[in-house]
Amino acid sequence: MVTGAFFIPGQSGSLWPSLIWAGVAALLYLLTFYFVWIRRFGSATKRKAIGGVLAVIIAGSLVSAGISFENSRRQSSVMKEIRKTIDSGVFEVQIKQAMLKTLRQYHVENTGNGVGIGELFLQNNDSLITDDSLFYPKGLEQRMPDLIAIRLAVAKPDCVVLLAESGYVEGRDANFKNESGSRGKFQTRAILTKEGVQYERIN
Amino acid sequence: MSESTKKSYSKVKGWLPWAVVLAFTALIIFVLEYLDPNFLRFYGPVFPWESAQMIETLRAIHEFQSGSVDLASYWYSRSGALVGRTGIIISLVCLFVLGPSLWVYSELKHEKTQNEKQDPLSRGVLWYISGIFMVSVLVYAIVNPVQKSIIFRNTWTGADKNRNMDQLRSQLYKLAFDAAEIYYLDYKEKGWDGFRSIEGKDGTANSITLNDLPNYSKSNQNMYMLAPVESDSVITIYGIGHFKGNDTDFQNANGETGRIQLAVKVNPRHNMLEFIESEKNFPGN
Repeated sequence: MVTGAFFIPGQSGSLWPSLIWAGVAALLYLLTFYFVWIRRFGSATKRKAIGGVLAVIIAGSLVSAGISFENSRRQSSVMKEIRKTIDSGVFEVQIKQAMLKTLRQYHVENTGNGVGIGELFLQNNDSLITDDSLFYPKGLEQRMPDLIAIRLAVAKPDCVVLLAESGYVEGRDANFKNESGSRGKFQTRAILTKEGVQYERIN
Repeated sequence: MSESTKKSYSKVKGWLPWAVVLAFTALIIFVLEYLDPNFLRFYGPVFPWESAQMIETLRAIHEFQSGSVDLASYWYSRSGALVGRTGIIISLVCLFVLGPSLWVYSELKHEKTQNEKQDPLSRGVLWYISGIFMVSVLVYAIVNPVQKSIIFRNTWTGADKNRNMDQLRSQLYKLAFDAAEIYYLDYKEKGWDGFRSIEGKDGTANSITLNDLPNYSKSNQNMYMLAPVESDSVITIYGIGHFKGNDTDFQNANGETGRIQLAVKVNPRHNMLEFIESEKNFPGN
């Protein structure tokens, strides 16, 4: 009965549904078993003792199962949250660092040379931009565009636009069309002009 | 022998087998732990929920690392600590079906066959095996939830503290980038005297304040402070959390003691941004 109940839910993915089904079956078995067999004992003390032991085991199991279940739920949710924090943090830090470096050159080192901000950005990051316009700033050397993708959308003399997209973290709008073609993923946009860096979340 | 002495002796006789069961249980655990010091840690989880939690943790880590949902069934162990779905089914059946059934059956059998002259210890192998099993489970059912609830509380308090630290780090990055941006934009007009003469909304030039930074907003929980601006090109921004840190005597920048703290030094002239080691108070355990 217990084994059979375990197989009621599908056997791929989380095993909590199977465990809950089997746990309920085990509890039903224990209760039925107790009420059927306990009458056969002559000693009232023994009946109480057996009932007490089974009650403690059931209560301890329920508390333990509850804590484990809550731990699993929280762990999964915290991992997702950490991943979201990392993705959004990496985007912002890496992009702003690269853009501020260009802004510094434009205003501080390059004054009067007439080189546009887009050209400066490309000069700085030439080796970090692939043929298909993916940008891998320092710190993102592990190239995993399926997970974290930063794309150079525009590089004009007066502005640079970067779009950063997570392959995993969900955005606010599930129907949002991402730059990569996927839907509903977290995406940010950074615009660099001579007036500074404008960074915003667009999904 | 008087009647009262006989009664007392009879009671002692009744408990004697259980004393043997307790002693055997302790001995078995001691021997197993002696043979493998990790026995209790790795194989101690008698309840199937422990194994389920460990597998779900693996699943969450997989999802965290690869970004894809792990649909593996985990029928078998993938490390010494895991027993997988197969082990969970065996554990459930042993704990809630076989163990109690054998125990009650052997108790009933003993009750029906016992007589006054019988040796109190002769209860049959089955009784002792099921007794040892049930005592182990009973002890575990009492100790395990208490231990787990303590660990649960500590774990999630620690997680909240780490989250608080992440908030501070993330916000300090934003403020530091804002400060660097202001510095560069201001350079064209004023040169390198940057942070000591930032033009405010009223047109007057004063030392930079947090209110000049677009990403600054007063937080109800965390506190951000700017150290007195003593340099044209270097500032230090402090972030103070709402949880206690590891060092309870740590002097926070805002005058409080022992709170989580991070501090970032911003030096846009040299394109530098660094977190100051001596000004950190990390979350404790």
